[in-house]
Amino acid sequence: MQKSISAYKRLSRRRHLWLGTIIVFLLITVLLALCSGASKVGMGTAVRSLFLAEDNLTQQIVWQLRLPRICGALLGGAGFAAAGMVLQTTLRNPLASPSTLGISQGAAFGAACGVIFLGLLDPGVGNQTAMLGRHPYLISLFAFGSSLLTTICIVVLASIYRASHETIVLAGVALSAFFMAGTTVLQYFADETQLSSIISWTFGDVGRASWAELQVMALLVGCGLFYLALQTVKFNALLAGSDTAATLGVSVIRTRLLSISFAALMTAIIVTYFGVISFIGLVAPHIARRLVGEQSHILLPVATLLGALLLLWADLVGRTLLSPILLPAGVITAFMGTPVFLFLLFGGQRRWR
Amino acid sequence: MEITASDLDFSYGSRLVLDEINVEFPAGSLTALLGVNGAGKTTLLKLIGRLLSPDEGRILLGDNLQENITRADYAKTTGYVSQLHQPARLRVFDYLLIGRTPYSKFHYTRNDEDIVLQVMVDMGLTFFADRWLTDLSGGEMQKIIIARAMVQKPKILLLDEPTNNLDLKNQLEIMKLLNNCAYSSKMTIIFSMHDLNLALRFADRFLLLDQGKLLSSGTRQNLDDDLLSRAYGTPLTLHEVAGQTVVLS
Repeated sequence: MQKSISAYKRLSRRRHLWLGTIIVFLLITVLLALCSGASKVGMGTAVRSLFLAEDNLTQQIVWQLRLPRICGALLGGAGFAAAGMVLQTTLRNPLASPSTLGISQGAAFGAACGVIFLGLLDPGVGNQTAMLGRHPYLISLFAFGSSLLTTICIVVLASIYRASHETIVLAGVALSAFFMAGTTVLQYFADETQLSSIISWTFGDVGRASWAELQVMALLVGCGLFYLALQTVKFNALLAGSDTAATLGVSVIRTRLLSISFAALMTAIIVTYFGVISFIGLVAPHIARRLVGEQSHILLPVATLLGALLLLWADLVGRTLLSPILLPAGVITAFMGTPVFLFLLFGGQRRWR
Repeated sequence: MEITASDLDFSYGSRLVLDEINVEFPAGSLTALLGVNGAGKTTLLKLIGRLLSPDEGRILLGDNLQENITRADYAKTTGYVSQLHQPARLRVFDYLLIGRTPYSKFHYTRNDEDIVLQVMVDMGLTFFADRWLTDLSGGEMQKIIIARAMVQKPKILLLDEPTNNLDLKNQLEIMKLLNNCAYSSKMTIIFSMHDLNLALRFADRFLLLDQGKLLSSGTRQNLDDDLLSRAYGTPLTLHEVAGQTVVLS
């Protein structure tokens, strides 16, 4: 008897150990990312320029080039991973994630719509160099609205029609195909600058946001994470089935709808600023689950930090692989994600039932 | 805690599933819901468990109207064990902690873990703490699900066919466990069951449903051959054998 209890306690300790390990890895990677890139910066110099106000080239590189990318990757990875984990838990569907359900593609389509329609009203809109042009908030609103619409479709399918796991994912595939077709159609009507703006949404890069935009992102992603962190006891109850969760005092539909909306909000804001970055939202929660199990109150932080870590590495690889050419992180995650996902599907079947 | 249901009506669309049900469940009683498939047993359990709300009529828990009790308080009073289903991939201890949901707002406390441990000790389930739910047998799983309801510290326990698909030994163990809960902790227990002999042996009250109508409710004395035969649509007779009531077809 005592053996089984103490085995469980060891297990529980190991879960917290994983959390600590990932935090340490994350800190090391942040330092590494500060130092590497087209121009080499020593680790000591990099750390010093973070805290001391010096007006030199290193300081500029660190504050204007490296740090925004790092913060962007951390926020984006964390947001996608948390959104993916919540979608998987609330829909009870291991294949759910912002990109497999078409929420990311929906946001990209909305942004493209924004670029084109605002371009009609205000012809100067495409002439800006930044991705969001002259109407960053309006275009973000388009992206958010469109991703929310996708989410509503999915939720309606999942709850009202009680569609099976496969049906929901297939609906996601159909929706993302629809949005990609829509984006392609819009490209026909776009002029050159609009075209480059639209295309840049289809592959995500974490270096696009300015400090001001990062602040908006940090605020919204932070709100989302905070809300989700307060729901973990309810997410656990949902693991026991929706009827059981209801008899445990959880308002199932409300919890589902609100959590999914927050996941959509986080996805929309990240896609709006960075473009579509696939697989992080799918792969990070799965790896986290392998490490610490299904319990949401430990899975959510581990998945979130792991997402941040993965996207940071993806960006690091993208920046250094063909340096000085910068590969966008979205391309790297797609390359990294596919083998990892296939391994999760086939390689680990024996332990992962 | 006693339960009083008065004038309950419930229908799925145009199909009337429960029709004018008036029944009382005294505190500390062990009641078996009997009847064929579709007689309304599960629906009645779900109404009492507040998974459904009645079209007409009302349910009282003690002196309180069901709808006046908050969700969380209701979950602290009433445990619900649904029919066996595909379990999630959780360790047994993690699954049992879920039973503390009504008491935990944002996280579980040390106290919650102690209660889970105590229930495991009481029910003799400590061997299972670190096992996967997916690795358990049907009987073990059913006991764990009941333990999860016990972790809620309920005064009322509702079980939908708790012995379905279990072998004889496990059926007896589950029923003895329920019997024990009803008599020692004064829990009001209601369960639906197809095995008449098992129900007659362990329950002290019986509720016979036929197409949503209450045919009989009360103790063994309120059951007779005629009522049972009518409810099950086949000739059945009650006999006393070695101090036990058995049903023969």
